[in-house]
Order: sequence, then C-alpha cells, then structure tokens
Amino acid sequence: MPSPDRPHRSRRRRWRHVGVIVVALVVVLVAGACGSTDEGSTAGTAPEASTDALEGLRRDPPLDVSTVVLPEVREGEADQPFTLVPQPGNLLFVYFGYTHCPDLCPTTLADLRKAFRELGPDAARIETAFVTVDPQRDTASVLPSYLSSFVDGGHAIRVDDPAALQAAEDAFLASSTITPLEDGTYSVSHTAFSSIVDDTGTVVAEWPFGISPDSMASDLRILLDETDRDRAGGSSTTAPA
Amino acid sequence: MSRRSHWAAAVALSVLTLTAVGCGSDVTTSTESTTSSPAATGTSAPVTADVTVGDPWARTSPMSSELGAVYLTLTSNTGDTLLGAAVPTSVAGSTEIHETAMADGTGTTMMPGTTAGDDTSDTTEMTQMTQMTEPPGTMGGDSPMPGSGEMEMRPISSLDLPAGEAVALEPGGYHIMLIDLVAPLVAGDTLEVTLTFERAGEQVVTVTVRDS
Repeated sequence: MPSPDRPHRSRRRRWRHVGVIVVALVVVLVAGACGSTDEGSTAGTAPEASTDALEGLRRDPPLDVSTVVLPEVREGEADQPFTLVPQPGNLLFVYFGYTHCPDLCPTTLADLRKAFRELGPDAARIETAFVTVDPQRDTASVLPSYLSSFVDGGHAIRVDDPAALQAAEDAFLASSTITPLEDGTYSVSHTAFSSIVDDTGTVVAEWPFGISPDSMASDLRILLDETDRDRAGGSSTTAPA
Repeated sequence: MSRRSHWAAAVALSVLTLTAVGCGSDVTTSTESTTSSPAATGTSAPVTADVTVGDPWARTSPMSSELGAVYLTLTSNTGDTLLGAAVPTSVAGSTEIHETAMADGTGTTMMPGTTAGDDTSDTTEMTQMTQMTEPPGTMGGDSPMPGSGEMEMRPISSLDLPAGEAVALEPGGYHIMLIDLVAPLVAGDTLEVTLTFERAGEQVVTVTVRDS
C-alpha cells in the first residue's frame, strides 16, 4: 500500500501508529464506498427485487391508470369505449406502438405470444391492449388484424384526438412523437416499454424493451398469484414482500 | 503548510487511492489485447475479404403489415462495411438498413457493439436520413426506467464491420427492413437477400422466416 511518505522523514515510530490508523481508515472507507455504490446501482437501475424475483419494474408509488378510457376499434363496427383495466382476476398488458414498426413492436408482441405459450391455460387471464401512436395509418381495418396476428382477443385501441392520446400516455408515463419528413412522410418515435395493469387499474409492473419471453411469463405468474392473493385476502392491497 | 495538514492530505490521498483501487477491482473488466482494428481503410490486405453470416432470419409479418425485418450476424475477416441489402421484387418493393435507437440520438440501445457507420464518407444511394427526431419536449418528466425513452428507427447508409468482430443485426438494434412486402412472411418460408459489402462484394444469403 502506498504509505504517506511525503511530509516527514523523522519520527518513524509515530508513523507506524499512523500507518495502522490509515489502514483501518482505508479499509472502512473502501468498504463503505464500494458498498454504497452497489446499493446505489441496485436502487437506481436494476428493478430486480430479490424478494419476489420480478424482472419488471415496480414503481413506488404505483401508477393509477383506472381513469383512462379510449376507443377500442373493430373493423366494420362502431368504436366502443375501453377502460384500460382488465376483468376481475385478470391482468392487462398495455403497449403504445404502431403497425408500421417492423422492429420493436413486433418483437415485443412476438415475445408476449411466446410467454403466453409458456403460461399455458393461465394465458387466458392476460388481456392485451395495443394503443396506436399512429392513428392516421392504423385505422380500424389495419389495427385489429395486426394485433390478432400475435394474440387472440386483443384490444386494438385508437384515438384520433392527439390530446386524448397524450393524456393516456401521460398516465402510463409513455410518450410518442410524430415528426414530418421532407419527403412528405413522417417518422414515429415512441417509448417501447410495456405496462401490466391489475384489475384495480394499478400498473403493477413495467417491462423495458428486450425483456425475454421467459421473464415475461415468470413475471405474469408472480403477478397473477398476487392478484389471487389480493382477491382472497380482500384487505391486502399491497404487494406481499 | 503545517504538519497536521500534511498528515491530513496524506491520509486523504491514500484513502482516495485505495478506494479507487478497491472499487476498481470490482468493476474493471480485464483489458483485452484484441487486435481488431477499426474499419478497413482501403489497405490491400493479402487475405481475401470475406464476411461470415450467422443465423439469418426474418420475423413472420402480421397479415396487415407491409413491412418486414431481417436479422443476422456479420463477421468480417478483414474489416468491411455493409453498404446495402436487396431482395427480389417478388418479395418486397425495397429494403433499407435500419438502426433502432433512442430518439435523442444517443445511439443504439439495448445493443452494445459497434456504432453505426452513418457518417462514413462513402454514402450510397440508400441514404435518406433527412432528420432526426428531436427529444420530446412534452415528455412527462421522469422516464420509467433506463432505456425507456422514446425510440425510433432510422435508415443508415452503411454499417461498419470491424475485423473479426461479430456485428449483430438483432431486435432493438440493427435490421434490414423490407418495405412493401408483396406477401406476408410466413413461418418456414425462405427468401434470398443480397448483401453488398465494400470489400467482400455481393453475397446472397438464404433467410428463414420464423416467429421469433
């Protein structure tokens, strides 16, 4: 270890004592510094809670999206208002995307489809809502059939009013931007995470883009168990530790 | 400077040094002495330029979609640049090499690896990046998690392939976008994609369609 040899040449004995103190200090401080770094990174970035092994992020306090209502579109039918809350005992997967999106959106939906296969019969308890951020192109004749390519019985959500779309995005902390291009077309950017909503209208987990189908399935199992427990327990509203 | 302050300085110094060393050992990755050089700059290598293609696949396309994406891994022995990709008009109207990235221009997300070569001098007719999307001014404050800001796709004119390094075109990173699909891509189908490299020339790759 580098000893502090700069200040003095005399009094070596005293320095020996000092050396011991320095060592002690260094050990304590190194341990402290490293320890706090680890904790910091865990709290700041990795949402992986060791208690329940949930891969997705649990936000504290959780987001309440129970008041979000948007039109659900079906080809050849009138739009129906859809509250972004699943049936009792179910969970709702929500994604803000668009169909002219060959990479992120189909990757996420294809992975979700895979997760459903892993879940087996429990997959019937997971509802899916795909909210288009590109209502101009994602019409009632496009959006439902796009979604049905991945999942059965999904809710195709489309709203023309940009303010209504943004209000819904805000509730989920999602966002999107349409940018006109010089050639007359436009580019679309959007957040690419997914949200899982429980039957109280609470976002119980958020998944970053790229989460594996295995992790999706595992998280959904945990969240379904929690839903069952909450419904059985009645009074318990918080996630069990 | 008094003796006491010397002492304090010395302690502080050693603490700092050792803290750095102690923590550093946790986080530093061992330095690798790879010999991979940056992108080739036209040197006449004695070896023939060759690009190995790994796991070429395309995702099944939703029925209503006119877009598809092809993914694969490219490894150049000499260092090369992917300049373009083409499919027969019986498959799709056109193709573009795309990068999915954060909309604020901070580069590829979820996919470390090489950076896109969209600023190389030899731009081809494929380039049509006109404008990058600005970061949203209206975004509701805190982003839910790292890497969850807005993302967008941008066409890139070329992709650097450093020698010996596997560059993955994979979901969330780079892909070859098929535009105006003539028919949906169905699982089990195959299609031929012609890749054009600066040094290795053209190479035809058979791509298999699958769900994921």
